[in-house]
Amino acid sequence: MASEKETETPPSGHGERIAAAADAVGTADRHFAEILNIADDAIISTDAARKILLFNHSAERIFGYRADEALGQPLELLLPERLRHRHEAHVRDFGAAAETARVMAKRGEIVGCRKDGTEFPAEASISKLATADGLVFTVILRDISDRKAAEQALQKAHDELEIRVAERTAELTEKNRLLAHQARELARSNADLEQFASVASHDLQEPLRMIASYTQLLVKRYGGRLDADADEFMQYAVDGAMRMQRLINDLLAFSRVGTRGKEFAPTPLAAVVERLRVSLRAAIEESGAQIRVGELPTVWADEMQMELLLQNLVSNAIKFRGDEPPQIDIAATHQDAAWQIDVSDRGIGIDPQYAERIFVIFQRLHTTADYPGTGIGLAICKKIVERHGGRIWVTPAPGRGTRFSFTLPDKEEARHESTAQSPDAPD
Amino acid sequence: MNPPPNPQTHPIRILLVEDNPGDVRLTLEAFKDGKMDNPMDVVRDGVEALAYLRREGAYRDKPLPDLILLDLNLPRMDGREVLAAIKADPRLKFIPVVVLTTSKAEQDVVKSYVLQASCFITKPVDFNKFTDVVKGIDSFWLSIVTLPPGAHA
Repeated sequence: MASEKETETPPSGHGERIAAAADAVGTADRHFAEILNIADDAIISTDAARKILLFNHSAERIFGYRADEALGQPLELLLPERLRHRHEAHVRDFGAAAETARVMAKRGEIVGCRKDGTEFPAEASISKLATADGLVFTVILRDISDRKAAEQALQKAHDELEIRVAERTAELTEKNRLLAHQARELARSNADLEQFASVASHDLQEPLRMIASYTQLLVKRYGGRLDADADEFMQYAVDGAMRMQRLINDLLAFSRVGTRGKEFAPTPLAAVVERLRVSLRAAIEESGAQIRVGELPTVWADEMQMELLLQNLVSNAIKFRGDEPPQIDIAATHQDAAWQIDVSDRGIGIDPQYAERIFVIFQRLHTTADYPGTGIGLAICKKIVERHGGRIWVTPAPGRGTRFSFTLPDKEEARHESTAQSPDAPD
Repeated sequence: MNPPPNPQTHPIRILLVEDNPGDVRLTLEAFKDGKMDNPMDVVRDGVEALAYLRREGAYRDKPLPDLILLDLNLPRMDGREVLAAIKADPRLKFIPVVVLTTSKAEQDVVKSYVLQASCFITKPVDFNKFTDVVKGIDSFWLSIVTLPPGAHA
């Protein structure tokens, strides 16, 4: 396009062309000078002897020298004393090299020295140009103090972060160590408890049996042959020993909920309730109890413990029945990924102030004369429910009586496996 | 040929292996209380029990018992070892062994049956029930079970 325009230009005279060319050169020089001065980088030229020939505005701004102070001075003026020797070698080496330009040093290795003696990090490149007067070197240099400061700040922040991470990691490691230690302690203390339960059940029963049996033998052989006091004392001794034996057995049963539990499996609660009707038959028939059972789910549980749990709740309902034959309702509702099972009766009820206490081992609300028992049943219920990840509580039943409720997580496995386990389903 | 032992004239002979004198006396009293007069010898630990059964030393002239009542927790050699030794001995393995103990621990029960105990009985705390148990043992082995011939050798 440009050449096309040129051809279109009408030919002019020779003198005019020279003037135009000179004009063009002048214009180019002015442009070049302006570019030099508005450049953001310091641009400094030297001759082969490293005397400064050119020192632009940015060079003035960066180094603090006015151009007239710098011109004619050796380039080393702009370098810290300690680096001058090395710099001379670099420049000499470059002068002899075949290349015409190179980056003077890797980033951050160049250090400039201002007029006031302060130093600053710089990035620079050098180029050389052969002229009639010999080699001319041009250095283009940029003050990178700000970038350095930013980098350092970043590095510092990074270092601090690393320190904080290290500290936090150390804290966590320490906490993990403590947790592991506590877990070991807990396992040990559980083992101790198990050991204690075993000792209690076997070794304590032996002397207890001696006490009970020989006191009974005394009653048998000498009952009525001493006086009435002696008979009464012997009877109390026998009762005490018998009661202690029941307590030991109950304590053992309680401790076994945790230590002798079976693995969980799909457990249809309806079948569990049918079985407990059989195991409680005597109590049910004797009391005339009516047990109504709603639709019950299959849950993910230890089947034996489910039976023990429901058996305890139902036999409690029978035991604390009041004057009329017990009416017991067992029902299930589904809520928030859990089943809630309610066992309600119309018995004597529980004063709400004791709602928590009744689940504590060996806590009783009635005398053994009124309602025999050791106070272990509900503690066992609570332990079973908690082992299954649920909770148990008691509320007054609507109208009259007591409602025990417990939850069991609704596990997918229970439903899946229960359907998988029905091979007799019609095709 | 010898006729089968007549229970009326030959009450079964019992060896009681029990270390606790209180228990020994209690067992004897329970037999007495149940009006049973079975001949009964008592040894106090497992080593003695095997010496008795193998007729060693002081027991050279002892006839073999018809029934062994064995406690599990014994000094020197415990009841499980005694049971294993009896069942490994061709001359002794036919003698019924009733494991009689305070232990209700499942593993004891299972282990005893694995070792071929004839039955496992937990001694009741209640003396009257204990008497019933002893009577039950006697009547079961006396009138229901036919003991292997040669037991009275």
